[in-house]
Amino acid sequence: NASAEYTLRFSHFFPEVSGPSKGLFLKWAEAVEAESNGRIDVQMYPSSTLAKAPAQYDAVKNSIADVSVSVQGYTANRFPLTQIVELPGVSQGAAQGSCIVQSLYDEGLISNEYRQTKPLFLFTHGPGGIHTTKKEIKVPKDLEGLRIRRPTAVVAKLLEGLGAQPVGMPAPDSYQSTQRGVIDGVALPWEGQYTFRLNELTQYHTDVGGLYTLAFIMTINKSFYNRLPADLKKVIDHNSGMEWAKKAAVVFDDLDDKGRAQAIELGHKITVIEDGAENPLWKPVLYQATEDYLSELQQKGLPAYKVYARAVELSQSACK
Amino acid sequence: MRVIAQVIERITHVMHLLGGVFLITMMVVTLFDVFTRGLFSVTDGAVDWTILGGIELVKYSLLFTVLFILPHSVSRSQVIVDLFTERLQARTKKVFEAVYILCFGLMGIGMSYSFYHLVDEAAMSYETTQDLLIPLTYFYAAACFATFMLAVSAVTHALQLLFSKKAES
Amino acid sequence: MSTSMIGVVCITVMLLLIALRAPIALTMALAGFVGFGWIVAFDPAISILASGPFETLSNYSFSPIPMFILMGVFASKSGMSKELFQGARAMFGSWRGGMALAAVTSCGIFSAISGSSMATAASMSRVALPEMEKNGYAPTLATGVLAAGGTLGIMIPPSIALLLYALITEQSVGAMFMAGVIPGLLGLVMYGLTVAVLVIVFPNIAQPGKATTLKEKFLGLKGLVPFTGVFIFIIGGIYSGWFTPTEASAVGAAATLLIAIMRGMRFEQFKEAVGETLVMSAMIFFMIIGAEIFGYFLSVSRISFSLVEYVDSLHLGPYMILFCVLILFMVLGCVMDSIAMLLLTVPVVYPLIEAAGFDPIWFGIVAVITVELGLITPPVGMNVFVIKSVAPHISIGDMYKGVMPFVIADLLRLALIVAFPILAIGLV
Ligand code: NA
Ligand code: NA
Repeated sequence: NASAEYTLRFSHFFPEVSGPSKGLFLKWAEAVEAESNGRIDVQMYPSSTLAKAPAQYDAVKNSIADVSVSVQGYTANRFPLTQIVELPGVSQGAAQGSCIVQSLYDEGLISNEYRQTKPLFLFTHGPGGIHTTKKEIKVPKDLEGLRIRRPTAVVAKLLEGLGAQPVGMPAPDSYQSTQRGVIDGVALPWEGQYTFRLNELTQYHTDVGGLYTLAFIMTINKSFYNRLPADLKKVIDHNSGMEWAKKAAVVFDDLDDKGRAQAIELGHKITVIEDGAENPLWKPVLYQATEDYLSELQQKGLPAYKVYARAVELSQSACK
Repeated sequence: MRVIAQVIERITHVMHLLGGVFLITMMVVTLFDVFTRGLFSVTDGAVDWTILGGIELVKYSLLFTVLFILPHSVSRSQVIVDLFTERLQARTKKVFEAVYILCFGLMGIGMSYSFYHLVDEAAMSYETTQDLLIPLTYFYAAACFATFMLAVSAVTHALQLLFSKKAES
Repeated sequence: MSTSMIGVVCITVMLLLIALRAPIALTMALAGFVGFGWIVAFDPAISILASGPFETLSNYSFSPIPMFILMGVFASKSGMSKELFQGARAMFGSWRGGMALAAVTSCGIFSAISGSSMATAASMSRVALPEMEKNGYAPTLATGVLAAGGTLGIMIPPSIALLLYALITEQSVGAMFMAGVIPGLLGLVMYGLTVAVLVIVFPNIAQPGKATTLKEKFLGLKGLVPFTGVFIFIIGGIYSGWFTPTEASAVGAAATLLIAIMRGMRFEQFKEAVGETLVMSAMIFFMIIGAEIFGYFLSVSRISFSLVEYVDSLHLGPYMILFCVLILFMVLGCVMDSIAMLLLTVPVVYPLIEAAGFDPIWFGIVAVITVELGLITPPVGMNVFVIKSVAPHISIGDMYKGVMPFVIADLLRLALIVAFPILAIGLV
């Protein structure tokens, strides 16, 4: 668009034709372009063409992109308080998780972690499960010795506690690694199974309600934002915050349904753990991992217990 | 000048050797990973010597292999298209080469400067690697040093090309 | 100036510098840095100088590159490769060009465990090139057949390129890989035919081998034993699940080292082998770093975008659109890394192709064959560079000359697959 006054480079790691790309990021771009009467032109850079998945946040910080979507956990230990929302039992779905993480940010409990950029909105995906190629997972012991892709160091703690060998990698790399046998399975929500085509490779799926979730952030470069005139700043402000966190959640919850339906259609084996993370076989391990994570942060002088308590409170009140 | 060049050459050569060590490390770590995994499945989990982070060790061994061989290789391992310049005088070719290697030196300075910032930032953000939770700041520091040596090595080589009589023969 | 114009300027300057003997890695990094700084700003451009290489070099998928080189160097240091080719020569007897055929066949076999074209080219040329030169093959034929043979690595599964295409377009990767089998084998056959035609038309580019008796042919098989032993070990290990194809590179290198030690390799030669591997790895990784920095610039210049928009505005028929897209790929392929090119262009042209009513899996194969052409076309042909690192004494010009007949073979293969889509989607 030649008449645009500002070009906004929007970078993310999802495939261009994926649900989050089409149903959320493009929608945001359209909204911003429309409300600015075409004065802001949004250029999309999907599929990590401008920055690899773990580098998306720094890409915005360093002005390589103006807006990006990143997974906080892909850069280990960088956003430790935000990742509390990923702990077992905190959220049961994208709607709840997104509400919690956005509220924590709005309440200033985790905003210190984002001083280098200006966050637009935060959200989470739905409940993460375990998906394996050869072995059905019914009890934690079934995981012993299996190499499982996990998204973040927090989830690594959980899987390690359960006896698996967690291997860290961003979601876009999971397909190749599973197919080559580098890993025996993945920790992903149904949305990820669908978006990154893992249903093609994994026949066994285990739903452990509340096992974990993953936080995302869409953020804008500070100096880009500050350069905008007041009316355009308003356009950006109008397209951020809780309203968009909820829109994101709808997209991710819908994709969870699609991913699960796809696995059923393919005739896969789906194991549902009764009571999820509260199941007596799973709970002790998950509880221990949660406790370890929180106490570690607390020892570093971070208000981990406070944030955790608030997250749990939100899940039972405003974000129920 | 010659002494300085020799010292630099010595340092980059040691780095090159270290690069070789990391290359072999990549191989050995992979073997160990394969072997312990095999043992685990053969004994049905009774003998568990498996280690966490094998893939990560390989990844960063590759990083160090390449970073450490860059300074020694910058003047040796380059691909050029000689299709159009085959008939130029040797002296002209040498000047061209010197200018280009000097550009590599500038690039090395840019890289080193940029890594220097990352060292600070990673130290402040406590960012770690994914599996072994090693602070990234160490990796950036090593990269900062390696790219600095890349710059130094490139600049000395360019100067030698331009001014040293020995290089001309 | 529009970003696309800046892009054109930078690429033009880059080509000019390449013509003026600038190291390719440097020109890519330079054009990438300056172009990105010009379009975006120089602060982020400097940050790319660190973050780009760091991300790329710590990428697990690249780890097989030095390992496959190492494997080849161990094999040649221990005399395995020599015996392999003596065996191969015996097998093909007195036939002129038999060794080139053996080289291309081995490339094909290698491709079945290698997802990367460059690793295939590196590893096979390491083994085959010195032998072909020693036996009086013209450097053009010897390097051409290996550069082309290397490209089989990204068509015969497993293949990183096919996988990326499947991810971008949400196609089944399994189907994508199946679709690659016949076009890959077709490539192997057509390269073989190309060798045959070349040798018939230009008999002096290859020398006839010695006529061999049945007994000699049989004894020649002995030379194949260690090589096929390692090979079967690797394949067996992968298929039985003991190790992954990525790990196979390291396991293969270790197995080759073991054989080398049994054949009398000592620490001194081991050090030499590692040293050689490092030199070649440095050459390749310098360019990978350059390509990475260049890639950032290509992204923000939106050159591919502008070109496709232009094609769209012409309101052409489906096959004309396909033709334009393929021409675009070929032009970009001249200067661009194949993987970066797929990532940048496929998302843009895919809607165009879909609207024109083409089968997405079939288009994936067609696209990858076209992209893979870029690996051997001047001025930036990664496979040719890989071979240059094995044989620094052969000029790049000669190599590109040698590659040309195989480019024609590839174009023919492309035409066949466009005319008979069943070749690609028959197995799916
Ligand atoms: Na292959
Ligand atoms: Na090319």
